[in-house]
Amino acid sequence: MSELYALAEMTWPEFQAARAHLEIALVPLGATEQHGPGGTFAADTARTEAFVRQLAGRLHPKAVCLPAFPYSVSLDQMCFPGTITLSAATMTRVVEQIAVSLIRHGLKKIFFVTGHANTGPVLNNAVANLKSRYTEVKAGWVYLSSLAPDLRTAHLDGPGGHADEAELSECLYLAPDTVRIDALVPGDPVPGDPPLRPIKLARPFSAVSRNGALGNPVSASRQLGQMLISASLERLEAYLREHF
Amino acid sequence: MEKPRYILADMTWPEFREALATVDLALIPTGATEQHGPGGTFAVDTARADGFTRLLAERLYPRAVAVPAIPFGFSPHHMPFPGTITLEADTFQAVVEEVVGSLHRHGLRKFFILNAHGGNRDALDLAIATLKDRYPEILIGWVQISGLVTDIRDPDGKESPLMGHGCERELSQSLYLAPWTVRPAAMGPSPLTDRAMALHHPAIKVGKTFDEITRDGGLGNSANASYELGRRLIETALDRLTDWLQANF
Repeated sequence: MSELYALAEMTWPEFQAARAHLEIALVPLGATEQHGPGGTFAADTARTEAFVRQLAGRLHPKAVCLPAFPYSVSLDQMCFPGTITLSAATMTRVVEQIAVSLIRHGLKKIFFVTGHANTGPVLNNAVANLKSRYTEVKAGWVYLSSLAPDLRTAHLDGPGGHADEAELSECLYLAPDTVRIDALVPGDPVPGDPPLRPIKLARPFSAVSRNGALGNPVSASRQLGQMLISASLERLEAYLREHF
Repeated sequence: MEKPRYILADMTWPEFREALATVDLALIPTGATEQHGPGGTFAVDTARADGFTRLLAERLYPRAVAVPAIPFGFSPHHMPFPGTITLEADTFQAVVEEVVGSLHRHGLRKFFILNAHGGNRDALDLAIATLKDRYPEILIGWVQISGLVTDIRDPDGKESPLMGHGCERELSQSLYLAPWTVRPAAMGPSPLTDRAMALHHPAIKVGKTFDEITRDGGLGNSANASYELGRRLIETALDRLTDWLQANF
């Protein structure tokens, strides 16, 4: 494991000493949400935390990784037992207040990495709020599985979606405990036409997939995950070094 | 071999659905990301709440499920120490309420919160009162883990007059539950400020930050922390809480 700053593993005098180098705080955001028969409720949180730790290692000593926040807005997944959701208003406040704490400690660059795509609208609002409140601060976010669409197209059989082979491959590489290799089964999409793009419809995920997964999780592999994640890390590191 | 226990983060949704045949109680650990003096990391509270709750889930198997620990709490009084993260009190309260609300949607009616951070106490009082009003049929409660064992004293009589944060009693629990959150080489007595005792009046409450009480962020003398004291505190707390929950929840 390369050297990195992870806040949870530091004391306050250690953090104070690190601040001389620190420029950017990396905040992993997960979810506690069903991931089909083949993925655990921690798939987003564990995968994101492992990803951000690697990112913090690459940016060392300029970056510090925060503890992952394990809940988000998962309203559409509540039809599957075990999923936990926050309201959008609460999640927005959580994200903003983590950033405000960091800003109070002198950090000027806050970057959120979410492993859960549906945290996107919350993050757009939170980043806009932070930007207007603290004009000198840079705040940004990315959905970690959106950094390598070209590789997804090249290596996936179909469009996939929630808990598909790409996501579970990322999990196999980053957090293998979150995958049930023996329980991997193909996604079970509900037949019917998807809504005409760009129309958006609110609907429970059970109306999209009967077993909570899309794509073909059976073909998930650690190798595919490593390829997707290595490229994603490289691209995100380059972007943050150059533009953030 | 690990003892059987239900940990939501480690389950899939079909596994959770199956477990609901026996599970009737959700255990919710609440921590903080907050300085703990030179001898403890920012994860002391979260790791202790999570570790305690996992052991409790073993004892209450197969009727209890532990959900992921909430890793941020209400810590404004620690903000003078760099690295501390705080939510506002009503945000923390809302997170707790919505986690319980989600579990209620899945059919659970008994909820118990295991708290390791004193700053969360008032928000938890408000959260359980609010939830009981919203869902009158539920049983809901919370406990400060250390509060279960205030009568268990250090056998060698090594105790400081003012404890409660980054001190020997807290970091002993950490040595037992989550040793990676402790820095043995940096442990020692925490120098108090001149005003410390006055600010800790038993009845009068005064708004204060922790740097007005202690110079290094800790209390007591963490050098007196021990795995053995931690084991006694935690195992006794588990014994008492398990008995109480089995009788009353």
